[in-house]
Amino acid sequence: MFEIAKESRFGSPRSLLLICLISVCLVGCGEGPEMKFSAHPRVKDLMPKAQETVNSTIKLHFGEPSALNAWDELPVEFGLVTGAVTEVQDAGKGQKKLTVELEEESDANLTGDSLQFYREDEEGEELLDFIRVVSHDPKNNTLVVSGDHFPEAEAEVSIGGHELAQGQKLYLKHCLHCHGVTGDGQGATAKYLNPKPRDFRLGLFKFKSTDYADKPSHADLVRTLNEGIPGTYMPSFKLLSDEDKAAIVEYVRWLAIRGEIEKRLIDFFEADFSMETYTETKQEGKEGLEELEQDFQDLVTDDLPDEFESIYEQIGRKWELADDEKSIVNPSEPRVPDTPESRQRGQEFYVKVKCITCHGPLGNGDGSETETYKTDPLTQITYSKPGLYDSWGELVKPRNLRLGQYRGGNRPIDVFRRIKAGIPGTPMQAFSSALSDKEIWDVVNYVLHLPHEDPGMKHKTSSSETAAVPETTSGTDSE
Amino acid sequence: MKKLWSLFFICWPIAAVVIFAMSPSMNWWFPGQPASPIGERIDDLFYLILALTGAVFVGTQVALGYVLWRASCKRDDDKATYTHGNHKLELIWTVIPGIILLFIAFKQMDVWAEFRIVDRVDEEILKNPVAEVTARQFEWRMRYPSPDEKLEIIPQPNDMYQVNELVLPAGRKVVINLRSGDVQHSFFAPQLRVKQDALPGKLIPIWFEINEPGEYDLVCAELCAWGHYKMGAVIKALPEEEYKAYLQKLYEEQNFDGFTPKPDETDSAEN
Repeated sequence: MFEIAKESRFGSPRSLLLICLISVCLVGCGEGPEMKFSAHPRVKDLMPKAQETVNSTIKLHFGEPSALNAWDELPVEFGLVTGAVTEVQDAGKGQKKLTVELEEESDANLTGDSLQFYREDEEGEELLDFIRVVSHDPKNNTLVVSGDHFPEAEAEVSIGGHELAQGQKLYLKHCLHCHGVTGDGQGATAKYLNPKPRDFRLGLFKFKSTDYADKPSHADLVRTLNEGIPGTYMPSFKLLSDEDKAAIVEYVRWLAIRGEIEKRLIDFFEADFSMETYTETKQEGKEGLEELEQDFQDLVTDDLPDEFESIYEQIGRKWELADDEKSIVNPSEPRVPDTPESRQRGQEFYVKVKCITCHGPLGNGDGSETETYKTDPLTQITYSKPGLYDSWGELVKPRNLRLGQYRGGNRPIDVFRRIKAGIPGTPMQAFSSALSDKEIWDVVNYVLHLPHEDPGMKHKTSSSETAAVPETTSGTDSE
Repeated sequence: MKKLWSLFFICWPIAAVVIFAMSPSMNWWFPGQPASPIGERIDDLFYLILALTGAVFVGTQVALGYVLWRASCKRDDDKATYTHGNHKLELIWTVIPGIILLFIAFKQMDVWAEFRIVDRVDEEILKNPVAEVTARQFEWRMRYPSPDEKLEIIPQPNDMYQVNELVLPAGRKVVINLRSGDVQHSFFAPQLRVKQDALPGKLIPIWFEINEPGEYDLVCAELCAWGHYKMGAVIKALPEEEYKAYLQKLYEEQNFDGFTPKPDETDSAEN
């Protein structure tokens, strides 16, 4: 009886179910779209040839997300090993088998890493090139590589990238959805957030222990990962292992270096070879256009190599310098005791050095500057909304000093550094020349006491629920 | 074929017993031994209810299997018999579960009271919360009073802050004030068997005792948004002495002024 019922009732739905299952497998298990580093929007302001040059230069030195290039000129931990090619054999399928004599013994598996070498082009110019390691046999030190060009025997090569790839893996897991593949702050969740996730490409980091114009040290970035940034959507990643945090920091540094080099290249071409010049010249006639392109070609062959070298050396040196102990901003005086007199002096300095114009007379972050119209320093266009803007072109509110919420940390030294070294990328400048360390401590004492001296807030008197309400609401309406 | 169905139903109680018996060794069971007295009592309750419901489940399934098996032995041309209810049987299967349910209801009351009724906590402990925990997307922010001071509802100048790390003394009952900075979260310490929702705008005291020093998980148990899974923190239980020393160290860290006196002017160092 049961068998008959089963056949007649469930015969066709079963095949339907099968079709569903197969289609789910086909649709659901496909590979996602390939990740790509996106070019900075300002690249589009350059003439087509310049766009190509910027994009290809960046791509050559940094690679793509699926194939990172470990460029040995950068102060980044790639896990590089260097050596000389002793033998080149053909491995078929456009691949070659290289035997490499390494300078130092290494247990690292180099599969998937990039191999950096120099080759000569048709005109005999020396060119940097990267090819990919397809497989690595550590026993015999042989590598199967694929690429368009290959190093010759005796060529010096450096191979690496696996350590950076480790950081990338973690970055993609923990950071990608806000900070984006390129580190441009354009992740999937970014559009719902205020403040916006940081765009690393300007190479500017706000909360650090170094001077205004300096880069953050490794320790600073690790601290941001550990502590998060209260008042923003950056949570704490304290529970990740130290190695994982270090790997993420390394990848973020690399993304920032990549972005900043790209920006500097755009700056280099923008003055003479912008899209605007290009279209204007084009309208004037063909001759002018040819001349413009010839000028561009001359610049690329004559000046670009030197300019590019000075750009990456400068940026690299700055990142290296940030880890120097001497770069850390520390007070020359211990904290001035937090007395009413000190706070009083702090308040006077607060007015004198014009903290008041942004942070307001009561420290509520509503100074007169938040009401004035500013112009974009890049385009000279006046912003449509009044207030202060940061280097990323976003409206930025001066901190409300009465919330007791400190993005860069609430230790006295944190607040001291914010005042002495300023906050890069924002209108908060460094006050190291306007105030002595002793005077800064007075301001720190005044500022740190602000959340506790609101006459509307009585401390240590009431423990009822109602007394807690103002604090709770002020804690949540932070920007 | 008919026998197959009775075997099918008899398989379930066997599978259930086997799986439950295997679970602890396969790490499918609780997240470790209960690490707090209230956790032990909650586990005891759990095992009691598991034993009761387990016995009922196995009993009813075996009875079902038995009835099916017996019926499958009968010849196909046997006619079915019709019954019109059995008053005595119905009374038995209503009253006995009723008694069991009442028993559970009364039995658990005291554990619940211990867990949630404020009167059960000493006034002294209740008035001295050791920390305020603020859940926020997607992290836990802690506020402690500075050493030798009381935790006030309104933040005080000397308060100490920490993120994703809750340090508590082991071996005594402590009270924590729970808040939410944005949406609804839930404070869940699996090893301690403590779970309490955090509601925006509300301050909720929770209390528990951690038996042994060690590290315990703190996670969010209320889907709070896309980053819910990120809300992991650690509860560090320290022996009383170490706890005091830790708070002192934290106080010094929080008041760090970055000044390192040069060797010849050590006497001018303050703070």
